[in-house]
Amino acid sequence: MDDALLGALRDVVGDEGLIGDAVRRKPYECDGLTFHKRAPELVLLPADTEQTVRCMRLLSKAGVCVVPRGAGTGLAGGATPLEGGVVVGTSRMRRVLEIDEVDRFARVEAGLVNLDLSRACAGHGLFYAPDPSSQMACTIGGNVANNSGGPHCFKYGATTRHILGLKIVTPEGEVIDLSEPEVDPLGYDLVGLFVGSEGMFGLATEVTTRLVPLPEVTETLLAIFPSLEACCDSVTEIIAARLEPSAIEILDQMTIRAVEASVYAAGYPEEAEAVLLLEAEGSAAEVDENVADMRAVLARHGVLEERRARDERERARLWAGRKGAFGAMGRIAPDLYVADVVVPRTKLRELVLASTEIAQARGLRISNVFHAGDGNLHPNISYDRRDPEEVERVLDAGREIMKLCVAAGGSLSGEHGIGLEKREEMELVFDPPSLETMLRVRSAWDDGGRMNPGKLIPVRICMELSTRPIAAVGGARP
Amino acid sequence: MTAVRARLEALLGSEAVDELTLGAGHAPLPMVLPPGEAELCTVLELATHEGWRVLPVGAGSRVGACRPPAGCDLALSTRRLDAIVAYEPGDGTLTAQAGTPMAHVARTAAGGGHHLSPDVARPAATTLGGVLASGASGFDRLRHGPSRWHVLGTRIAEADGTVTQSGGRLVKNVTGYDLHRLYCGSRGSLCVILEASLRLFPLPERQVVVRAPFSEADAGLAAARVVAALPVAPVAVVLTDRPEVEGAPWSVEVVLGGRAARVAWECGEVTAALPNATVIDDGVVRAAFLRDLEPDPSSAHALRITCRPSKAAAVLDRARSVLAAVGFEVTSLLHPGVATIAIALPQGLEGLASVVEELRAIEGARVCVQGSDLPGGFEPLERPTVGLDLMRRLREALDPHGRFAPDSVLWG
Repeated sequence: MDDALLGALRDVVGDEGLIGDAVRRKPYECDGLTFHKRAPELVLLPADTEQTVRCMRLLSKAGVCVVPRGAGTGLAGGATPLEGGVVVGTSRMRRVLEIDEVDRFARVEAGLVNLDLSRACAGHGLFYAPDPSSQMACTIGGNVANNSGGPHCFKYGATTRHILGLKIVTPEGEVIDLSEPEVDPLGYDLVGLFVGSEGMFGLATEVTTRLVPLPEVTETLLAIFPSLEACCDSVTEIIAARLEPSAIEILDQMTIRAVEASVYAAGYPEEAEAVLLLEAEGSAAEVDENVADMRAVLARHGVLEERRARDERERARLWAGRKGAFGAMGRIAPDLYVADVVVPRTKLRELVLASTEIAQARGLRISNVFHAGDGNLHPNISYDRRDPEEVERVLDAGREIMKLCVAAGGSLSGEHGIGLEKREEMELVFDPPSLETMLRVRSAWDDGGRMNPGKLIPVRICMELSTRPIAAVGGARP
Repeated sequence: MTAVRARLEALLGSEAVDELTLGAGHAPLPMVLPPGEAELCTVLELATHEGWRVLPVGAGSRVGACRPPAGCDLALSTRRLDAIVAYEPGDGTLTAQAGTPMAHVARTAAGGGHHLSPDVARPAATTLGGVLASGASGFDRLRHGPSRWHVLGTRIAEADGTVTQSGGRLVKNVTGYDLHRLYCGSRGSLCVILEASLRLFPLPERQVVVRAPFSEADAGLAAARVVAALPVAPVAVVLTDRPEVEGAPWSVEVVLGGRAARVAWECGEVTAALPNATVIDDGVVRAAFLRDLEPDPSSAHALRITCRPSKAAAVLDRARSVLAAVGFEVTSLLHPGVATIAIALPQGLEGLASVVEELRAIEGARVCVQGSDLPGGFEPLERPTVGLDLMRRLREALDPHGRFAPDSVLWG
């Protein structure tokens, strides 16, 4: 990198906000998807919006690519600097700026860790609902970029339903301050459009989030099943019966055993083929009614046993097992490919089984832990990245699972995003005109294509659009 | 017959062409009603070729929601695109064509035990596409949120007739940009919405309305704040002084719905918190009555003021005094929980422009004026002050040759 530019950037963020040496840049060469790696030329960690603006202006002037990064917990390669450039991280922007308990919103810096927001507002009887499994590490800004989900999104919806405002720094270093929590957008819904844009439109430095009241009563139930099929079918019936749990999660036997052998041991029965983790919230009477109805469904599908968490400690333990499941998989193999696909909730059983068959046919070890209530499957393939042939089989299985789910009316990603991993598979879901429209919208935000280049939109579409002649159109208007 | 109308009749037959009345001072527009998507796209291709400017409409019920844009050559209605494309009761999703009346969508969903949000006023006269394009939300917004939250995906026609899609039909999906969020509320300035998929909610097992009378608005608002602090999740909380409401100048009405046990418990909580409360067991009828109190912009002028819930009392108070100064006694419908105030105005209210200016000076208040034949001197919608250049670039990206009627708020 040009010494003058480096010096100017150092003047903005100081030594504590600039990572230049090769060893310290290495952690930024990828996110949770470790198939693709490339170290950035530089890492910048601005302390606030003002520093971010100054950095972005310098980088814009120099024509340098920018890859925004939260905690790097993404699983689709969205934070991987595939084309080099500079990673701009939000890890020094962690302040809670405002909590308004009357109007129920919080204004925070983008680098705040997800769980820390709920902790900050718990004293007001409120919490931030989206709770990705990585919520102890992932940031609110990263959640915005990926429209992240989590177990409780079944009831509360994904991140996009909880973002009321944003302060966005554009690729040119201008500030679009939409942080006021408006009832409805003035003009176009820029905030709604920005959420889930995977760092390709700009960099959010402040986020205004909705807060929801802590429930009066929470009941957590662990249902133990003799088969994964019966477990899936019970979820399909709960959805079809329009019952209203707040979370519905499935863990299969391989996952259960990995969790129980790990520090996340939750007391799941290792002999069970699958368990269903159910939660209901509300008033005592409402919860009792919901749980009774759900138990009737579980009984119809041959549940072996049900365990109700007796207190907050037991409840926390059951959830620690679920949220620690991906980490626990390290006991099975050194690496884990976490697929993330979404399917109609009427087809859970057939697609979980078919995904398993795809992996097993390639001699791979597959486990399932997923947001069953939303139809968001996570077929997890354990592998060893030191074996290139096995890596190829993993990637092939991942592609086949995506094709299978799309063909069944599903889609590529429920919560992790497209990033690098699924970029080329976008053509399974969208026709070229639809992808071209996305590209044009992206260009409206970032004409130079410097923000997080090489993500989400298939390379072929990018090339074809740039070489297409402009269509003839009729009479010009004054 | 205009040349545009003649060309449209030659293209799709005279039965597919009508006229859209835009109010005094505006010439009616030829309105084409294509029978299907292919024909609609053919009209857009022709408009592109001829350089016509197109005003997309649904049933036209919200054309009066703000001043019609000038310089349009034709209106393009989706009213005949009125099919339910897919209703998946087991998955809780529904996909319908844009011209489907909201009442029909709601009835279809109810047939499988689902509730359609938004629950809009006068649903038989309003289309799905029109509601989404106008950015309108429903009476049930307090419980379920604004309409744009429930849209899972859309198929749209771009200015040159190209059909594209975003999102899908799944309740959870982050595949690609959420372009449907851009289209919702874009008021026909970016595209014609052809089809939308929505997430549905369980139809309430029971619905009741808890009503409490108040002699003053302030006392009613204070009571609404008490309800807001309760651990309950009402479908709607309404404060109204409409003469149709019996018994007191003002009443707070709390609409509760859901599982029977939940409603019973919430009813107890709300009744205990509101003085002199009574419970109306036929909550469905009462809620529909309250919903339809919202002023109809096609028949009267109306103000719609929004603010943070904590500022609703101060904003209402100030709005009442501004309007009283011009001799207008306010009757209003308030949703304190979502901080929306609707005030019906007489047609031809003197000095409306200066009233709007004064109202917009109230800190934290957003003021929208609805109705046909609005006098000049003010913008009916508040102009965005942030991101305007970006919005213009987005419009250029979707409609590079400006074939759709520009929204005067953004482009005037």
